[in-house]
Amino acid sequence: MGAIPGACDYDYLIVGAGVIGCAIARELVRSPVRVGVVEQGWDVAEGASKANSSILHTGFDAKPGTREARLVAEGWWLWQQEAPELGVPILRTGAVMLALDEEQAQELERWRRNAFENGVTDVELLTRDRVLALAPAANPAVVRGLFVPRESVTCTFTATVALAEQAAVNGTVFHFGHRVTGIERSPDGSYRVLTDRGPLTARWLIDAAGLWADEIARWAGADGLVITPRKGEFLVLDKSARAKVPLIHLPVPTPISKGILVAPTANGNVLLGPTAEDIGDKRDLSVTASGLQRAREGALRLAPALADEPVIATYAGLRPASSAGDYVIEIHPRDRLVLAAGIRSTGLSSALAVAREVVRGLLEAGEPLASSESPLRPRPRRSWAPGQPRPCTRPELVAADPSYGRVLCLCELVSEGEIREALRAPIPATTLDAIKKRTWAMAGRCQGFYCTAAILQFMSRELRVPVSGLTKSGPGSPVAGPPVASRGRRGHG
Amino acid sequence: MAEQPSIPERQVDVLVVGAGPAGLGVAARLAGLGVAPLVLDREPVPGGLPAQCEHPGFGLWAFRRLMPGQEFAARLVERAVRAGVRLETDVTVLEVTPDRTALAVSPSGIVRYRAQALVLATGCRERPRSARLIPGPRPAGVFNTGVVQRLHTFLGLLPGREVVIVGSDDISLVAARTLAQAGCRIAAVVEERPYRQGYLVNEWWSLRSQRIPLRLGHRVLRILGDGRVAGVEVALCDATGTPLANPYEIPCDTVIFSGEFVPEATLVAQAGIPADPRTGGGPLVDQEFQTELAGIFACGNLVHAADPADYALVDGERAALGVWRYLTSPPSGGELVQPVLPGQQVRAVVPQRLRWSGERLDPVRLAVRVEPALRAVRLRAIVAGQPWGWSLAPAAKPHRSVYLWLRPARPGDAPIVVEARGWPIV
Repeated sequence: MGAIPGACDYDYLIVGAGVIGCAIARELVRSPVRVGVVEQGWDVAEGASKANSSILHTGFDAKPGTREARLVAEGWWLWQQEAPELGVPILRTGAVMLALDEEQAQELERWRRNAFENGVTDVELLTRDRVLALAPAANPAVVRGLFVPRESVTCTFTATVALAEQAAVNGTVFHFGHRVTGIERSPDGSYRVLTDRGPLTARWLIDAAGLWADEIARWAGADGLVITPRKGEFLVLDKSARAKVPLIHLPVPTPISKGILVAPTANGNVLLGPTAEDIGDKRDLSVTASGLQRAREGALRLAPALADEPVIATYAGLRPASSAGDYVIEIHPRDRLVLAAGIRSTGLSSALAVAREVVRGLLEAGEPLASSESPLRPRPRRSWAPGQPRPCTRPELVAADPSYGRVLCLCELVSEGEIREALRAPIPATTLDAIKKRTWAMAGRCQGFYCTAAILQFMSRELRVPVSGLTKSGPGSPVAGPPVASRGRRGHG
Repeated sequence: MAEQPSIPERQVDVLVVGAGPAGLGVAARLAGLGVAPLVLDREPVPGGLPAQCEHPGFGLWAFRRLMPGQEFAARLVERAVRAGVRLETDVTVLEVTPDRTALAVSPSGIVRYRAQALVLATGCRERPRSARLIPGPRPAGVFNTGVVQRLHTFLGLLPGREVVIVGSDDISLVAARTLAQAGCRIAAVVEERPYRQGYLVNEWWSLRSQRIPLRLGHRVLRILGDGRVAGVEVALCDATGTPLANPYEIPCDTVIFSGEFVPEATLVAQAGIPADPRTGGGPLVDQEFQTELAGIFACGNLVHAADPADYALVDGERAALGVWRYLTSPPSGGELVQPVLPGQQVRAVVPQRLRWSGERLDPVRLAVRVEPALRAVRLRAIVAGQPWGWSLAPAAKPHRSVYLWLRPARPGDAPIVVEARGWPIV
């Protein structure tokens, strides 16, 4: 590469472009430092940040005294400050934990105390009648409820993309499609990160690699971290269900998991899930018949009225759970290594606080970084974010730019204009999945029946790439096959 | 905040949403009756699903010969336009309201149409993989037939090289043939029911002539593959989905989930037009395809997904008479409403009610979906214990309508129960 001998490509190289990696990058570029992000996928949010419940937790149910409890609580407040400028939707729906028998009703008192210990003092025990008034679809067998008014929903895609774009606008360089294959140290202590597309060098290495954080840490010389993938399967209901679910329905947690919940989404759907199953394979994102059945049954116990609502999509995500049982955030000044790992299912909520925690640690280690109040250049505005009216319904936008009036995705009402914005953004969408994350095109009830071909055609025109060169999620996932072999022979036989 | 430009309004006599066979059928017939309808379609190319079909099998009823879908669509468009129909493409209807307005957007702006009569002909779509809850990862290479047709017809692309098709109705069978001739290898056509859904002639013409194996009674247990589909795991299963034999893998790079059509009823649901869950959410209609909301009509595969395109066209032409009567003779009141109910071995009947305003005694055609599939079928309509019409069919399958004519009779309001007899196909 053309690097100056002895100089590094980056002051800080972050491994992983999930919500944590992107939040750290954005926090670091408040200072005049060179920040790089290396990511094996071809977009941001390709791991745990892609497939979760999109809930913005208050931390009321976290284990008191843990780092997770503290950072989730801080993260919630930081998102309230930052979301409007970032263009990230936050719906303050609230949540209600439903006790379905007397035994569970006893447990609610314990969770109320837990919430107080975590500084969430606005929770409230509800009688059955008040629960049913708040949650009309809740199981009529409900005995009592615990109302957590600040539990909110956001959009994990929009949040991660927004953080990444602002990081990029302020100088972060993203290396997508670079899988880390090894890590070497130079005599001067700097890192040489080997990837399948060549090495990258950096003074500091920041491990935000989610599921793979243990491997990266081991290569960087820090032993002892073990990340276990914990699979969660989800079902997505059509928008017809949304009116029945005004807020998040939570079960009373068990020692194993927070349990299967029912949650509205910022985009107007309803989520059922997740299951929780420790598995061995970090690439196993398959949904299973039994998992989907468990997710559905668990959710219908909370809200039986959703039984007939059509399912439009299913997905599975892997939570990167650490053996430590808490977040692992460690700054090793001598090794110039940062671990931000084991951030299991609450990373979206805590991301901004984790980023500040990392920068605080680096300041203590003597790194010359700016304060968290230093301004950032804003992320370019988008014409739409989940929960807002679509541009095609806004006369002034359609009048100003006719491409907002050409609707490609019928179910989600995504216009050509929004897809063009995604293709030309600071982190351009290059794959169908990336388009889906930024616009929700193809993510509605028909799952691309009407629009896939038209979107491919439009992408092909805009990117000047033949359709057969477009992919779902990067090289190795072509969306279409070869050209028709025998168009001339049509009509014979 | 900038001042919102107001949305311009336009008055039309009849607004038709959807320029497929049903919508074009309504519009062309109405134009012939002296009403000038406006047809809106969201696609750049009008004609509905037939416009994306290159294979033959269309037009027997309308044009007395079989022709490719594209030609059929083009001829319907031409016929409608020649009759005086105004047709606008690239226009998406965002919402309709019970008082017969429609909000529509196109590159030239947003318009609210106020119509005296509104016809919904938005057709149907196939159920995607996710709604079928098929396990496995989510690689590229999983399609519905509709997407494959568009890739093929509009973009000149194959979906992949090695294909497994899930479903055996006529659409699946014809897709297998089209793709095989265009250069794909069709590894198998997999059908979870123990019988073929499409016509025997299509099995011979499409599969046997191309030596494509048909795996009846088989279910896809899992999709395999990382970036792109690498195969499907299938097994012979009983009716509940329990494997009867060891699962095995069929290597392929493409899986096409075909058939299982559902109505595109988003506008119906959002406008609060009463719908029939037995048809998958299509609106309830009477024998002239009027919904429960006065002046709003619905026809074609929106009300019975999915019957052949020619039948959607027939619907459209009948609905046109209903629209014309609605426009020319306002309801006199005192009409009788007679519910049509599915009886033994019948899942759904369209229309779901008959509406009589005294003097009208037209014969009525009922479209009937049986459940389960039957051989040597006898359909009967029974009113107050008395038979009121019957028909025979060699076979009837749940995904396609069989028909029954009711002879003219004195109108009443006693429910009509439609039942089917026959031997279950196993």
